[in-house]
Amino acid sequence: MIWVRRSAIAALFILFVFGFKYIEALYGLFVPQRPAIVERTAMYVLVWQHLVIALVPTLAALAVSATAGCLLHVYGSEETKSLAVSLGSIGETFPSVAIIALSVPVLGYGNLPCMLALFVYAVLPILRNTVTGLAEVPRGVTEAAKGMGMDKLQMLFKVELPLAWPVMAAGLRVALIINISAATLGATVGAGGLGIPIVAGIRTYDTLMVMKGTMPVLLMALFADSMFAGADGKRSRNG
Amino acid sequence: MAMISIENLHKSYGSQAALDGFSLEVEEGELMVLIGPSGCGKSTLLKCVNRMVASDSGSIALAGRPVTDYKEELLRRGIGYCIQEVGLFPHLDVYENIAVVPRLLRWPEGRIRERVDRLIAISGLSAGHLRKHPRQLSGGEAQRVGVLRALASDPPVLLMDEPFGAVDPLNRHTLQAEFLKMQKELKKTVVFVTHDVDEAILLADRIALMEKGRLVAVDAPQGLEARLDEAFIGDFLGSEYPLRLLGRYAVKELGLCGNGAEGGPEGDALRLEMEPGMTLKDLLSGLIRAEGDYVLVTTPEGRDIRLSFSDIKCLMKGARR
Repeated sequence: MIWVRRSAIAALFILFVFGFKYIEALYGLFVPQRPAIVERTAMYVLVWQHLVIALVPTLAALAVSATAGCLLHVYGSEETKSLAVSLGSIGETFPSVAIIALSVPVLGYGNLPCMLALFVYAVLPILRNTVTGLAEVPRGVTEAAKGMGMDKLQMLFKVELPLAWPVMAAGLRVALIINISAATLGATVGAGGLGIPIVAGIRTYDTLMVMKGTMPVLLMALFADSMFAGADGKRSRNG
Repeated sequence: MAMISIENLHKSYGSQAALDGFSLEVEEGELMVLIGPSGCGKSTLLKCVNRMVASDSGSIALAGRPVTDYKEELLRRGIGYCIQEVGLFPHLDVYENIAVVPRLLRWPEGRIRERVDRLIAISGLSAGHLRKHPRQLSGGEAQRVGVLRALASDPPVLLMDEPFGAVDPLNRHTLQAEFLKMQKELKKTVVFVTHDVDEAILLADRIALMEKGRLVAVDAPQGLEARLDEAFIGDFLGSEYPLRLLGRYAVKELGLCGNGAEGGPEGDALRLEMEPGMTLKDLLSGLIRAEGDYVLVTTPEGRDIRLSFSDIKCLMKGARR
């Protein structure tokens, strides 16, 4: 079932990235006149840029938040843990446009401010979910683990992290999907990616151009979501 | 030398004293049941033995060596530990759950497999359970796995904190009987915490009765019967303690004495089958049901024996010796 969904999404994605001229022709039947836009960058390059801009900050955020969450879990007090959880919730409500705008004066135009903004944006929800997930491991399980002679690291890696993973994955899922869509905003501060045709299309009132950037982003987000649907479901059925 | 010697142990949580000068010796191969009302410190005591809880003062020695001599984790790997919540790891199957401590001890895979197979063979589980995950087990099965996991590395000492407390009464009785059978074969030194007097009577070699962090009495179940007049002992064990004690003794294990004569042709008398699990309590229940003052008990060999109340008294006298 999940494979059908994934292949459908992938097929549509390939169609929109490499076969856009067919959609263009189809569209032309209904709306004859279009302004002529010269594309400077090929679609697959834009897709690649977009992937890098969205994925690298998310993965970096996963590494940083998971490490920080584990350290908080092992060494942190109840207060610092609840602080991390509330910070995570606040962070999610912070608009990513604002972070991008705020980082431009510091980092200048280009990919970097956009990636930094996405990184900051992803850190908090993943950190929050790591802390919550580790705290939610049943007391009987941790007591048994301790009573059988596991040290703190063994408990963390053999018991707590595997059990907390579904919760952490939920945080990662949210962060990744938001970052795939938010990466389009990078085009406003000079970053590459699929935001470029969108911004160009808006400026020239060209709906088709907007769609050319939007649809692949949408499909990428859907595909990322479907990846988690599998992993997440399998884990939680076990747990 | 005692396997576990606890000397003058103190532990307080704030101003609340959980253990207040507790001393006890547990012999090798003995099943010691700690019993007492909630909050009497029995769980705390258990956790002091494997240092899940640090005592304030006093000492605990395992086979003569103070537990504080060991590194905490290494000490715990050498002691079986079994709790009411069971705490099986939900992401591991039964085999991997049992293999946890052997893996921590870096046993080779072949030895672990052999050990798990042997444990499954002496338990009430089948090899088909090994690849199941904890969520697929019933409460009783999960508890059995919990006990096997505690026994996995063949530790000489086993600590059990109300291990059958969360199981329904019928299953609990089966689990207790199975555990007793295993214990007879394995002869571990066991410290077993419970608040269930029947469980204590059934399992214990000796019962240690606790109140407010102190040891009130320690004796074999039949020995405590003589001390029921003492204030706290009588209150906690209850005046029906002698009746409950009858549940400990299987009729077939006690030599039939006195006038346990061969039955005559009394056709109307109540007949009972002597099943392996038949206890003196079942016999007494039969006597209460019977119209006359005796019942006919059919032995496995097919003989009928006439038993009356005086036989129970006589059998109990034998058990006390």
